[in-house]
Amino acid sequence: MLFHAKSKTLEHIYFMTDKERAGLMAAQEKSELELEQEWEYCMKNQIELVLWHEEAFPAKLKNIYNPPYGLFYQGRLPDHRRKAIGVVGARNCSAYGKIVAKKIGEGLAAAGITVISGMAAGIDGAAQKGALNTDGYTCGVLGCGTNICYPASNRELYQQLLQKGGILSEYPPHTRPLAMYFPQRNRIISGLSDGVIVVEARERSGSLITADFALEQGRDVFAVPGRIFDTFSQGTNRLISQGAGLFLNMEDFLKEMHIFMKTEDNSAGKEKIVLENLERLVYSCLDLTPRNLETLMMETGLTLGVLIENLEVLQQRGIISEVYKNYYIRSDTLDS
Amino acid sequence: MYSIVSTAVVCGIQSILIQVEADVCDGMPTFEMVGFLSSEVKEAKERVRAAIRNSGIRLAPKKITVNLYPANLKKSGTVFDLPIALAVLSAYGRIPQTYLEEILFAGEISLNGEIRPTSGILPMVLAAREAGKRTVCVPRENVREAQIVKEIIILPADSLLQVMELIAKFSEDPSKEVLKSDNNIEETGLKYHNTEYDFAAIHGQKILKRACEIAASGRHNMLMLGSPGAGKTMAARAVATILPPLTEEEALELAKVYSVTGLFEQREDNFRERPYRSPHHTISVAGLAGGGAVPKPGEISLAHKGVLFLDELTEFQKPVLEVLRQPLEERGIRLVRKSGTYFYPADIMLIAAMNPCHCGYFPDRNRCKCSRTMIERHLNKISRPLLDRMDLCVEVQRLALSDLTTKGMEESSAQIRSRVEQTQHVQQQRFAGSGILYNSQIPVSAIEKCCPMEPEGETLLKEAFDHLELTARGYYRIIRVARTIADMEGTEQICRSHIQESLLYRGIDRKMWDWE
Repeated sequence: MLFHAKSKTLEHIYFMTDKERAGLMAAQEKSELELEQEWEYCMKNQIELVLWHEEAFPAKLKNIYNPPYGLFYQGRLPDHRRKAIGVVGARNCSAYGKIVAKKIGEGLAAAGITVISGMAAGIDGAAQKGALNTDGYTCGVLGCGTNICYPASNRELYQQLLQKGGILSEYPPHTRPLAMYFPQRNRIISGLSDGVIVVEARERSGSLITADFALEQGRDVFAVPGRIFDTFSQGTNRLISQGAGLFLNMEDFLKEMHIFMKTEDNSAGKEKIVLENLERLVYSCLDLTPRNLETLMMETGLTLGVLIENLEVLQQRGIISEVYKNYYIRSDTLDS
Repeated sequence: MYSIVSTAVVCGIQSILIQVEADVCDGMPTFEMVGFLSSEVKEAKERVRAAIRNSGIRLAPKKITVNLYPANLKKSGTVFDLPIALAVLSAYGRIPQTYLEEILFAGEISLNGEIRPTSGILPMVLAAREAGKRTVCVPRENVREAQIVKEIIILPADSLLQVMELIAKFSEDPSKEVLKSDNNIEETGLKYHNTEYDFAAIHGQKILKRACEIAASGRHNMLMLGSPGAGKTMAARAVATILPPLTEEEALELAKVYSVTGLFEQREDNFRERPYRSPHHTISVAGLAGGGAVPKPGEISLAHKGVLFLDELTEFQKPVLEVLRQPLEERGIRLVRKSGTYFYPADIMLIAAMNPCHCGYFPDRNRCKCSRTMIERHLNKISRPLLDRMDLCVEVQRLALSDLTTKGMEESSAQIRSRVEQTQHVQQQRFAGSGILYNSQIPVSAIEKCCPMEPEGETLLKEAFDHLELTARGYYRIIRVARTIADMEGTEQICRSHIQESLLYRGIDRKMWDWE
């Protein structure tokens, strides 16, 4: 009341000193000025704002408990007629988790589904990259202003999202990425989605908050199972034991979500890869946890030169990949 | 009366002959010293006066003037005590002037007239021989140092009185040689002392051992990454045992560095062994590069022609590491001070070790809890230009208990050393007459000539250039390492497999952390 009072009214308030009146006036002017500047900034940088009561506001998000009053966004907003799936997980994930996230992103995009995530390092980013690789639509919900690329290491992804997807946030531009904003933004991720897949999570993890929000909002929660001793599977396995859906493969997942693939599945055209003896030996020593050269040398008994030669061939065929320097992992399941 | 005595001043690892002149005349009984002296040389006055008196020599109170010639050279160090004392005694007529100018005298004197050892004797004796002097008089503790120099007569000095006697005897019978130089010292270094750190004691670690052999063969720099306790330090020590012994010329140059630092006793028993220095990470810039008002050699010069091992590389202060960049390229360091420019050789093989992340377990994600930012911050402690100069980056594996307990047939250092010698021989034949000794020293202009490549290898290298985001320096370093690998196999042409292996050891830093 007092803040919006006109100067004349203020004069009549007997308990205020002149100094206090002047301070209040200055604050009023300043906030108006700032608002104007911010608006200009948004116009210039194509940051748009959609409010809750507006038509364009994402329908799914409208009906959740505690929806944001509005969304700032760059790029495109998700299409509400399409199914949307949130893919979330740990930032410090395993190499295996990253590959899974990427595959999920690719699979969802191929089925014409929107991928919602948080553009974080690790699982989030990998899933979104996967979706972009398959020319799907994906949008990142940030816990800071949309004009800030957080984390900075995802600069490339950020640029791609600006062009091919969307970046949105309930926070105005220039908001710093503070820890307290992130749990709140998770409710938007689940709110925009019809279902959420948790790829990897520790026992205590931000991804589990997203899962909680999803349940509150009546969304389906799926988790990718893992080995029981793996730190990053503790959280996801726990979700499954609590009744979350088990993510087995893309086909089953889509069936359970009552989504029917638009595109013809291309497994028929997939040619069978035939490996030579040595290649098969090297391949058999690899699994979904990264193995380094030293271990491979010991297990295969090959000399360094022969081993590198074979690894290179396998890599070119796309069935293994080098996840860290001199660390290899299977990147595709091979029918044997 | 006037007298003149020969001595020498050390400047870097070189030495320049100078003369000490003394004049004694009637007048006020003062002791004046001139000739661009540093404070420790000015203090010599008091030591000399007391030493002469305590030796039982009474000098009449006269005006004494001492000049160190030439006056444009800054005189520092404590070697001038003995020549100053002798010049004064000779000016008083207590000892004959004959021979004082022909013999080089050096030594610190104590108040009771005893002669004490000093640093820098070796370069002085070398300078004396070059100037045509046949005799030197040095403190007895420094005799072994002087004996390295061939064809020189050494008079060991114990005390002022004994030196006076020696000169008197010497002047009566100049042909009588007191001590000859001892050539046996050359052989003493051929035995290796550190058998404790033999490669035979390292189990498994095939890739690490291979990298060590390549590094030793071509004198490439090496960076080891590994979790705590994986054996990085042990491997670095073992590398020193597979290096062939120093040549005589190299050993002499190295001994000079140790001599001016006052550490000659460290080289006495292993004259031909390559040095291994592993300074603690709290070392200062001056400690590593050399420094002081009159600069002394630092650790990089003490590791000249040998191994400088920097353990826990990330813990070193940043400026200390950056100081390494230029000496690594120029194989020496030039220190410029007000008193002059000092050049110390520093042809080192740099071996460094660090943990891959703060906790040390990356990329084992079940054990490593470091976030990406933490890992990046850890790596960023090492600057890119320094990393660029590391030719081989290799990961040291944590071994399983079963690997440690198996009594396998591991190659000994001696076996590996003989191969390294063979490979170095190939290199030296190739570079004969060009002043280059190892593949790591091939200048960019000679790369094309020295490193003929298979076309397939060239394609692979071009792909890698983009893929690994190499710098020009990194590119040439890969070729140099490939050259060494080819030499180890005895092929003149660099094949695709050599480039392929060389690439294994490159860019761990980048690929390891950037796991896309």
